[in-house]
Amino acid sequence: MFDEIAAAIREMLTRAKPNVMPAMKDTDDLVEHGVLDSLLVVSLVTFLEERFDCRLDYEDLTEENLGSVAAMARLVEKRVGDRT
Amino acid sequence: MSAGLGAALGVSHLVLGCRDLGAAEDFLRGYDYRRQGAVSGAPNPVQKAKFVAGSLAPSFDMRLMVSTTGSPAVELLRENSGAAAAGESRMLEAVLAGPTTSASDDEVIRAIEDNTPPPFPGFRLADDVRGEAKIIGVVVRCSDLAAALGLWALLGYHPARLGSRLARIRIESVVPTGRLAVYFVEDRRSPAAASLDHQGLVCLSLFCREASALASAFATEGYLVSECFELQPFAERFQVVFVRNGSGEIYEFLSLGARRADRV
Repeated sequence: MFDEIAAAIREMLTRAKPNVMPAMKDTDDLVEHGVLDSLLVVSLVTFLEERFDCRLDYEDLTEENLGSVAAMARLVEKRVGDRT
Repeated sequence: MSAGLGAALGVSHLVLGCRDLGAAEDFLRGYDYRRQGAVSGAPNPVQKAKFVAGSLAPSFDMRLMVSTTGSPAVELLRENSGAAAAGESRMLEAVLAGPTTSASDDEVIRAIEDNTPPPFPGFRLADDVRGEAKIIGVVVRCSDLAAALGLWALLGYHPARLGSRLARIRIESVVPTGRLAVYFVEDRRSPAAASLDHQGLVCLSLFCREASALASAFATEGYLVSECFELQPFAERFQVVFVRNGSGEIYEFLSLGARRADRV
């Protein structure tokens, strides 16, 4: 599940930031590297909730949870698990 | 923060009403903002009509200014040939400070207590800042603090009370440009309600999950709300809703695409 989520996140971010994302590792800091902006955060939340039918709470939307592809995938995997 | 209608997903931008877009752009360029996009002569959505002082102008011009220092973006808005459009909204002011100034409550309070005219409508300086600068807070001057905080309570925010007439909420985000501290100052002499066709800082724009569902919820609570409409100023298409708080200031809520209504 983790790998599927991480791949979907990478694909989405690569569409949004094609010049930056291909060189990024899953553990790289997306804020520090200027990948994330306000609008992209909203797009990501919308995308992840709809694609994986889960709910990300406001408290989830921290730099710790959304700061890298791997962190995001861990969060979504956990929230998908909460659903069942 | 507890669950309310659904907390904002961060700040999108501040809306600065202007008669002279060039002068406003020059002012912000002096504080490390740059232009990211512009729109000229766009048809005005009729849903904005309840939020202007005069008749709604047929079109508007807009420039989007973004900060290189992590401050929220600023939309420069000029309503074209509306009937009124001559007034100035003074309810909201953004406080700019230099990079070495702490973004503390004390710094913002000092700026709030400064009674000198601001260097530009809608902006106040916390210190003798030039060049690199950041917005350390937005101040809302209101005549009824409880009314001002009502909207935020519905969204699930718990304001910090900094005094009998002063409170602050913090809008959090993963990215710096989406974060903002908003200070509410109760002052019986506070200026009249904001209007989108006025000069000055006229609106705070926030991202949310589902603008249409939020509009319904605010309408049920008795707030003045616009109908939800769609707007695509640049690449993204947004659902847009305007809400007037009980204290008079205007908020714009933006969401992306159609979502399930049960996810507000």
